[in-house]
Amino acid sequence: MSASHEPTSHTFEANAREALANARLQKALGAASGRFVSHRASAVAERPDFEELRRCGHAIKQEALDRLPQLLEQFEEHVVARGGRVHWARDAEEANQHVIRIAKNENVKRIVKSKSMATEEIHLNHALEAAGFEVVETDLGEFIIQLDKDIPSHIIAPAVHLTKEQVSEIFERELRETNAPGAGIPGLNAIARRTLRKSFLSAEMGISGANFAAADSGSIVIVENEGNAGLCSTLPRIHVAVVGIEKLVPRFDDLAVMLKLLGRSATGQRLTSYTNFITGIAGDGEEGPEQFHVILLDNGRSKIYDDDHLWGSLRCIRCGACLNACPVYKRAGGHAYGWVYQGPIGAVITPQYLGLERAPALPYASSLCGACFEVCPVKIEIPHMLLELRSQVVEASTEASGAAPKRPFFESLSFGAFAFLGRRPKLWDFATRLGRWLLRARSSDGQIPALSLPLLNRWTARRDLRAPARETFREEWARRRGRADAEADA
Amino acid sequence: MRWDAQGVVYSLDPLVQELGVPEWLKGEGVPGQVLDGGEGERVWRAELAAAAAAQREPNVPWHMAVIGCAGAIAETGSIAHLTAPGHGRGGWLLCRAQVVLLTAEQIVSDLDGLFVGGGALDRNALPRAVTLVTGPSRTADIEQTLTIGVHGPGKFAAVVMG
Ligand code: SF4
Repeated sequence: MSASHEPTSHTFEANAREALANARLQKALGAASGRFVSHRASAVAERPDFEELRRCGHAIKQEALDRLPQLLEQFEEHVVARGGRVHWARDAEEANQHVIRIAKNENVKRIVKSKSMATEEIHLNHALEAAGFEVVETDLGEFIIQLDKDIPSHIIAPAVHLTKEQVSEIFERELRETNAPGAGIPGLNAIARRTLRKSFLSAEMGISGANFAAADSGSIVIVENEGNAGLCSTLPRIHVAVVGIEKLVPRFDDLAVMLKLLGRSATGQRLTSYTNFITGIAGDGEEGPEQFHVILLDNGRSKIYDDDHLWGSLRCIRCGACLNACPVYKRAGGHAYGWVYQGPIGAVITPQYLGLERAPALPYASSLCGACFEVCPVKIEIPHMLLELRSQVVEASTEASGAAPKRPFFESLSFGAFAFLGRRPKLWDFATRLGRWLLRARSSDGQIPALSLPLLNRWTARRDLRAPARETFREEWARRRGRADAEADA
Repeated sequence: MRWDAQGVVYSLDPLVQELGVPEWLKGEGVPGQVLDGGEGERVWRAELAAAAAAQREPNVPWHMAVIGCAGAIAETGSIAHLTAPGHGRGGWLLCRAQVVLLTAEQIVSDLDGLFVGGGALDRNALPRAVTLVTGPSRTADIEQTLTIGVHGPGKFAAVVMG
């Protein structure tokens, strides 16, 4: 599959329907999210203090947001003191231009990249290629995606939508690896290792993102499992890190808490294989790049910062736990969300980056079950934020049409009927008894099998329901109160 | 353990020296190279680069790295490597196997223990790169199936001296 880089968030419903009909995708998604969920659960269970850690994680990121302008300046001072440089980028265009300028000034031809959502967001690869540079993604998943000219479908497992057969096809087609089909997963890894080794050893520039940036030391932290981020930030003579301004934590020592949360939430690891703490340029006789550039990326973040309801979403550490927990993501997959951030957090932040009018369906891509909030290591109130966005969608359409939004006829009818009955207790009693009688007549073994009902079809056609209880709540209430009264009298 | 390394690279760590790793390698006739950023390491890397550029051979001459560390974490089984002159990290990241020597006193119980003053993660004494290494290089990017050794060392062992 090859997806264009234009966001397709405005067609979420159609995208999701297409994904549901794709058997290969459903197979890949089903297997992956199950593993993610169980790995996370066992890693979290190991720490009886996990709730406490979540509270700390929340507090640290909240403090960072409260003091963000000051912390950013402090961060810059420390980077500079250690021989690095900081470049401020208001938007994607400015960020890309900074990187292109550095590369041109330094006569760079070949660039290796490690995984970074910020660079996905600004389409850095595209800009660099257009400017004539050779850019190679070195994270295995990103490498596959780059070869296939696709876009990632999960913030930490970009190629999770592909089966190994598909990866073999891609390697055979794009790398002329005739042995790829039948190589098995270890064989495919070996091909990637061999191909990318050449790039690592010849690149003049390495580009990375950052998971965290510590204001009081000017350090960035890159968390990874493959070793490619370590190589990207060590071998080439220039290291450029693209860092969203929300990555700051106030103190270097806060990283202890954040790292305990991140690995467990993301992949269920206590720590990932490599945690890289990068500070400044290499000293005398020390191995490492001669130049270290940090691009501090705003690109809409300060707009979110100003939103009273949604600014908490800037605490996100991009662990992906909410994706794996989400019943909608598990079936619709990441591409349905139409942009670089998927799942519940994608549904919250995509409308803010692209504008609500370009992603009006995303706030509705949730059953509001709250599973995302339950697992979020920094306690982002995603369901509340989705509700807030829904009300913004309604407000915007009210404003546009100058009238309150029109409900679908069946919806107004059912709410009208509900309101009518709700005000007439006798009638209500009668209607609930009638409903119970009808439903119990259809049920067997306490279940009402899925059935096709006009108008209610979207709900009933695919679900077995439980038969209604023998008594309505009001009947039970009356019975119990009657008994209590009798006991009191006695 | 038999890893069949064709050559060993080692850092200038005191433990590595104390154990006599360089002399032992010489005695066994195993090619050895110190990771001191000097001419020898440059030649070694150029060899790796040439092998990588030639591509087709899946088993490019592969090496084992023997290094020391600045601390270790019991809870996670991690070691902390700090870059310094004679303690590069590109060298061991490029190897197929990694052996880390440490003493029992270097082990702290959990991550917090490394952040105290004088620890590997003392914010007032940070080198260019601190790497916490927890096991071998790994990936699960294809079908969430764990595979070992994608870019960094696929074999990892920590040897604790009593
Ligand atoms: S919103 Fe929370 S759970 Fe989702 S990716 Fe961000 S930090 Fe992780």
